[in-house]
Amino acid sequence: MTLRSRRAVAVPALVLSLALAACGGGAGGGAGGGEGGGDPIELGFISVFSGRIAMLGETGFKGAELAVADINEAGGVLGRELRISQKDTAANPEQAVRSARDFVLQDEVDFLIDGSSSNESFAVSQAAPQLDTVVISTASEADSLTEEKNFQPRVFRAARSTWLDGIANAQYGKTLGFKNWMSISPDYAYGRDCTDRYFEALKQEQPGVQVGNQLWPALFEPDYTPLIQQILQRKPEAVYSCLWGGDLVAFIQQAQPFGLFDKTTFVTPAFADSLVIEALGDKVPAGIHSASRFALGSPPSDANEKFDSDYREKYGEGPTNWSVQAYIGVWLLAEAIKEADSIEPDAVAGALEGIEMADTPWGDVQLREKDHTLIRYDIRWGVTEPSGTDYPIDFTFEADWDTVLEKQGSA
Amino acid sequence: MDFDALGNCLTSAGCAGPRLLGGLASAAVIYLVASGLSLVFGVMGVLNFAHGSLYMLGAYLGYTLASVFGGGTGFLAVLTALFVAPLLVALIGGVIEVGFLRRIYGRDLLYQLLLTFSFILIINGAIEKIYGPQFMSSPVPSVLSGTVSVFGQPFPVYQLFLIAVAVAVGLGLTVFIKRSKYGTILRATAEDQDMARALGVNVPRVWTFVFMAGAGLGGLGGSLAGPLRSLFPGMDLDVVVQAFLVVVIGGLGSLPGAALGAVLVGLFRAFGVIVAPGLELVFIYILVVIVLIVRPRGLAGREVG
Repeated sequence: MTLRSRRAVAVPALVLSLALAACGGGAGGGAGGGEGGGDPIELGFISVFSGRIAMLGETGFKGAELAVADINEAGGVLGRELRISQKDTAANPEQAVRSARDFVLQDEVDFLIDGSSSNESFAVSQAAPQLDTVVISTASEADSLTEEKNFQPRVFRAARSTWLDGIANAQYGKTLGFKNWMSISPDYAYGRDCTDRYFEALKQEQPGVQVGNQLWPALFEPDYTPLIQQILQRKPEAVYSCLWGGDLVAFIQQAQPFGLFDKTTFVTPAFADSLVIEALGDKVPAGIHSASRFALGSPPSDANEKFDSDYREKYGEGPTNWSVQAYIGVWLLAEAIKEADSIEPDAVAGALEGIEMADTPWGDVQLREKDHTLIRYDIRWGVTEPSGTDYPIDFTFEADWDTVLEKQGSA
Repeated sequence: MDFDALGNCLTSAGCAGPRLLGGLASAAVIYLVASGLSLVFGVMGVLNFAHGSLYMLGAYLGYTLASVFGGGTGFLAVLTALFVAPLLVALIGGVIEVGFLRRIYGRDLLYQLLLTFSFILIINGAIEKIYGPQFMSSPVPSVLSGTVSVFGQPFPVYQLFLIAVAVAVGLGLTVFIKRSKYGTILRATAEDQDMARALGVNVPRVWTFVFMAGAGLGGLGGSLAGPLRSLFPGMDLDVVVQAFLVVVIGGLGSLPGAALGAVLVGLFRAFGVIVAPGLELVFIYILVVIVLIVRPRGLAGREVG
């Protein structure tokens, strides 16, 4: 039957324009405060707290909040308390810059912690010269943030970087000894960079590697069936995937009944994320090769265990990679303020360059002087073995940072 | 462009069979969602931009129901996903229609757009408040979690179940609209509401019923797709865009058009990925452009005049 039709030409344009109209959010609450010597040192945390990647902001802020609590408990910095508050970037670079400006100019915060995604962080970093403050970027993994041509003297990345990860992950990929690969990664800057960097490094490590079909589903794609069937038909020895979060969960749920994980080796840097493991619950397939991102046991240290259990106790959920990065970012800033013995931005930026911090939940890390990016964070690999235990991966491989840095230097 | 690979696949049952089923399984969910969108537009002339949000509500309600009734074989979870979740979403649709939409009939399309768009924000906000911002996953009921061998390849039972439900819904809707007394009233109201009113049809009640049915179809799409997908606030966006693409291809307001559009989109993706892996979505947009140029009212849309 045909019901009466009406003009429908303008509909897709309308829908798309609505789909792109993000909803902004206001400022959130603060944390910390209390009794201190002088005025508190104010930190402004900007990230995305609304929409589809709100967990980036939510779990990042919790990590930063935990660091503030720990630092205040240890007596604060320069005899002063730390205080932190948040503003939403609504996943929009212009809004991110506006939030950063409002924090610095209206709220007069002393430092910015930027836990937003790559596009927003990039915009904020380029606006940094007009912001009289130091920016610690704790979620952007994109190479562009710390490339030489974009270098900003007062911007630092306390987060993993795609390039370094790619080289480290290829160290593990080489041990698998596979020749024929495929890939399936989300079709946006991070998905492409993460995949390309890995294969670039793998081909150097292991001449003769063949990369067959590369599949690029949209970010937030709900239905992977055709792509799963393509992988099954092509029968690669291994598949590398930079799918993450909800997309990775959806892919795993859909691929498992097709027997994909029995027929090929699935290799991903992003499975061992507490949110992914918690979402899948007892549906974790055996035999997935995954890097740690942030995970309990990576590294196996008291600091790692303590961070994980403190976070769970405080928030009733596991920490994410964004949580630990924000946690470390705030700690590095606090240490630099102590070292500079001032909150003057240039002095603190000077102290941050090359700063080392031992025994963080993520191992012994350093902010590299030449490009202000974090190095030597813990990278491990393991294979899933769901056996009803709490944690389905035993990490058996540790990336060798000396080699990673050497390779990046010679690239 | 690897047309050789496509040729090889189409001539081999072991390749074409599973791909065909996979494409139809993808089409099944899109059809359920798009048919609700098209039904509401066809009868009422209302473009419900929040239709995807009703799909999302269905998915989350399915999750909650599965956590209560998901024990044992999961048979109860299947029944609640098929009937209870869509019914609840239909009731929410009823509230939206009676409480809000009813006040702006006959006004500019812009009012509809603003009102239904505000419901996208309201429903998203409510879900974020109740369930939190993180993504979640809903279990496949164990009674449907197995695989069967199709052309020598394992194929998930659940995806076959989706195809079966979509076919049943399509047939049910056709029979209801074509053969039943209420279907006749519905078609009459869609054709000429003034005449229907003059003949004693309670038009506002018909419209409430239609909006609830449309919402229920969206909710059913969500409650059935939930176990295969990630649940997160904002999961409605891709689906509503997909549903609009499908109704543009098939013809806005036409139920057979929604089925045709969904099957075309499903199959274009299933076989397009063989020809141009990584670029398979291009074919769908090419299809949309061609349809808009050649038949702006959609493949099954009827000329008005």
